[in-house]
Amino acid sequence: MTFRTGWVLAGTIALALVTGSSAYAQKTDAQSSASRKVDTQASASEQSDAQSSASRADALSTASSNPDAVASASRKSAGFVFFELYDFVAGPLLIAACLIFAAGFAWRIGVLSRISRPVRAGPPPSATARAARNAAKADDAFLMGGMSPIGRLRFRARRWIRGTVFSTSPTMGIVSLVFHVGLFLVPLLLPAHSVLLRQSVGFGLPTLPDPLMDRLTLVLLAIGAFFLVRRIVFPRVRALTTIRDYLVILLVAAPFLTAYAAYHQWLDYRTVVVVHMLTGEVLIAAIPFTKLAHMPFLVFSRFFLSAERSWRPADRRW
Amino acid sequence: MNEPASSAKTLGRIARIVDGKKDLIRLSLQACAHCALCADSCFKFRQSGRDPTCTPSFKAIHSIGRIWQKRGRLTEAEYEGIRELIWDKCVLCMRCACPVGISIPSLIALARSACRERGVWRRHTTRRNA
Repeated sequence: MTFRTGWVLAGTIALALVTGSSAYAQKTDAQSSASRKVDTQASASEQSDAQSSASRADALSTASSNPDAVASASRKSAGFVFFELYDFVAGPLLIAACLIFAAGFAWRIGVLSRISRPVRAGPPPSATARAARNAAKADDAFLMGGMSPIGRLRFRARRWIRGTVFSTSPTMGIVSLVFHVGLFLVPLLLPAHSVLLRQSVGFGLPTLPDPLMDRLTLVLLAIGAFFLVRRIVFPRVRALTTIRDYLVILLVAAPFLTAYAAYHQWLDYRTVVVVHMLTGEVLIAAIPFTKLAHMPFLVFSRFFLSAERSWRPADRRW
Repeated sequence: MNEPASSAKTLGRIARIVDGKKDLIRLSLQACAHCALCADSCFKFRQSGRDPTCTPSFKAIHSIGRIWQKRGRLTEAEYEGIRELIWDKCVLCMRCACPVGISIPSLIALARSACRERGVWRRHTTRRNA
């Protein structure tokens, strides 16, 4: 980490904490006034069942005119520490995690663009190269001419995956694809997350049904176990493995494990939810700084690095 | 060679080589997911009876990774191990495919440059085939 990068990171973390704690202060104000109302309503109904709604409203207004007494009363309640932690994890920590992720991601992309250079414009393909390409195309067209439509599809698919990880290690290729798609799909399209998003920022994302998400989470956990077993069993993977690799598997699996436990109401729900958010935030913040940095690296190499399999713009080289 | 292999001058030259590419080395080593999917693209790996030390990422991590970490301050035996990794177990055919896009050949080429400064290079008659 260079000197300048260190300052940028420190600044981001400081900014995140300042932004987060101001949001936290506002939110706890709102939260405590809300809980005050709930408390007064509850105490009012306890006092007398026969009291009319008008007198209850009176009690509410007198309580809100004397907030200190109610606040001290609510502070005595057992759930107070939990609500503090919940709000802190759901508010400032989430903002901090997202900011750290964004800054780290930008830093990684910045380093990648600094250590790569623009591609020099090469000569146009020669007549020989063009003829060879046309001949290969003609060969493929000839072969496909004698095939059924499904055979043609399979032929095209084989041509497309030739030389990729799907042809050299098909199991790992498919499993890894499902895993990585699921890692983004499940948290983003989960109905519960969408509800929370709508509550806090006013809009949600399209959702997929809960039972499907439940099963997808199980699939993701199973694939995580597969990665773990693969790491232990295959000598070529074990030779590369350090303790960090196990920790990263644990780090990625933890939010999904706790999410599954929370959805099925295993253990104490509120604790599990707080642990779920905490592990998720640690995961988000850790992406640019651990071996999960293969995420920004992949974005760069797939889109910006000129290579056989890269997509547009692909105008840079090492 | 006129000067001892581990002199400050040699170490300085090795440090200059790895420092010139330090961002590439650090980022590549950090972004490596240790998935070993590059193994099957290496003919040395496939021809050696799937020797795990012939995995391209293993060769890169245990050559340039070590040199980078210790800034070239490795023992004779460690350099000998690196020599075996990057000359006997790799021919720099550049066919190793990393699914993430890490340029493994350039890392190994860098390790070769650093090793040459130290007087460690290709031996055409190794103990194994002498």
